[in-house]
Amino acid sequence: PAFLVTVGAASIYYWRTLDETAREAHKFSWYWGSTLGIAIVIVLVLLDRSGLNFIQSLADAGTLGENPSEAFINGAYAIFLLQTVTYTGVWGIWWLRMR
Amino acid sequence: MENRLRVLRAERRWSQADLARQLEISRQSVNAIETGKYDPSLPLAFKIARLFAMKIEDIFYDSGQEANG
Repeated sequence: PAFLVTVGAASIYYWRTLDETAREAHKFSWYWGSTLGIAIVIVLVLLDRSGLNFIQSLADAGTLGENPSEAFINGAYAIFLLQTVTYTGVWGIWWLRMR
Repeated sequence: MENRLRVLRAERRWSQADLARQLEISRQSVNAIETGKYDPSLPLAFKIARLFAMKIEDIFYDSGQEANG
């Protein structure tokens, strides 16, 4: 909890140091980037449910976690990681387009 | 949206960094506004107008229209 509070406070401080262009970059990037990340996850789930069943294969191989609880947590981490990656990509593209 | 920001800055021999410092924004933001890739918010547009002692519409204009003055 102390770590989260510290990160939260640092985020608020960081946000206040940004000018409006940088804030707009983050807002745009978080909206479209994380939406893209979630869309990728949805596509993967739909592909799995369509008969490919690769998620079950990963689970059987123990890749997703030792038990359902661990698999759920790892899945949540994976979604967050994917959102962060796509957010970062969109953020980079936003600034490249501003040059 | 287009603007005369680069011209006005050049008339005063300010660098983008100089203008950024006076507007309290980043140099990248100044460049994005000058190149028309980012439209400033109304408060920032007013700040720019006050800095140059001009009306907003004398600095910013719609594509296809010329700025007044």
